[in-house]
Amino acid sequence: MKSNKFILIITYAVRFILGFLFLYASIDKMINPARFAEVVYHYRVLPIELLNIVALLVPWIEAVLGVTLLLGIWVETSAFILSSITLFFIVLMISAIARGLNIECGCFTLDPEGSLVSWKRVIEDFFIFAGSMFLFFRATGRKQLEK
Amino acid sequence: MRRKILIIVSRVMRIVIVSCVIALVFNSFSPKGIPLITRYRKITIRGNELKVPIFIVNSDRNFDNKNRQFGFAMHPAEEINLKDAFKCFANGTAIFIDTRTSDRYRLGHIPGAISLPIEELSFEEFSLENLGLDQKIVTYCDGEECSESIDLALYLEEIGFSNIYFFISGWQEWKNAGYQSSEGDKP
Repeated sequence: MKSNKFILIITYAVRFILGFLFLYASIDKMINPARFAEVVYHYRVLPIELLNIVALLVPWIEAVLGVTLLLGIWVETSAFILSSITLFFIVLMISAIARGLNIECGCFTLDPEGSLVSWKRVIEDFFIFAGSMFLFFRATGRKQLEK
Repeated sequence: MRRKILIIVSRVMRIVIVSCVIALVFNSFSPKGIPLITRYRKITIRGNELKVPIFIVNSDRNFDNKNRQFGFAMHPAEEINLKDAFKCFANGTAIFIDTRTSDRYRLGHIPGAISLPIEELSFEEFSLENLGLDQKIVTYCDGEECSESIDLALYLEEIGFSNIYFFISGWQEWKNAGYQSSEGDKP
C-alpha cells in the first residue's frame, strides 16, 4: 500500500517535471522560429525547404505536450509522443557527434552562448526518455486514464 | 489491446493537428513569423551547386516572396581563385576582408585587408558604412577547412552588397604562392 503511494507520488513528480521542462523548452523556439530553423539547419539532416516548417511545428508540439502533462490530460498519449520525440533527438545528437559537428544543441534555449551538442546532452535526453516511458507504462496500466 | 492502440493513435493525431493549427495561426500573426517553405539561394563552390538557406521573417519587407529575392539588386556571391584574387589585389580593384581571429591576422595577412574576425564579431554591430553596395569585396579565411569567408560573403550579399567574392583557399594558398603579406594590427 505504502509502495503504491510512493509510486503514485513519483508518477506525479515525473509528470510535472516533464511538463514544465517541455513547456519551458518550447518558449524560446516559439518566439523566434527563424533562429530555431537555423539551429535545425546546422544538424544537416533535413532538406532545406523543410527547415522552416519543422522549426515552426516542433516547439508547438512540445508546448502542447507540456500543457497536457501538467493538466493530466491524455497522459499516456503525451508520454508516448514525448518518448518518440526524445528518442529522435537522441539519435540526432549522436549522429551529430559522430559526424564531428560542433553545433548548438537548441535543446532548451536559443541563447548563442547556450550549450553545444555533447554526450552530456545525450545523457540528459536519456533521462527524459526514461521518464516519459515510465509515465507511458504507468498511465496505460491505469484504466481510468483511458476514458 | 487493439482498442488501446487505436485510442493512442487517434489522440496522437489530434495532439499533432491541434499543435499544427496553433503554430500556423500564431505564425501568421507573430512579427517574427516565418515563411512555411524555407527560402534559399544557390551558390557554386568548386563547380558544385549548393543551396544556402535564407532565414528571414515575414515582416522583412526587403524580401520579395513571389520572386524569392530581396528587393534590392542581389548578385550572388561567387568563388574567386588565387590568380584572380591576386589580380584584384595588384590592380587595387577590390577590398579584402580577413575573417580570421585578430591573433592570426596580426601574424600575417594580405596587405590592405580589413580584419573582421567573424568569431569575435556581432552582426548587429557590424557595419561597412563607408563602402558602396557595388564595391568589389573579397573575403578570405585560413584555407579550405574554414567556412568564415563564405559565411561573411553570404551575409554581405544578404545585406545588399552586390559584388562579393569568397577566396576559399585563402591565406594558406596566398602565403604558399609567396605573395606579399603584412604583419601587425594595421591593414
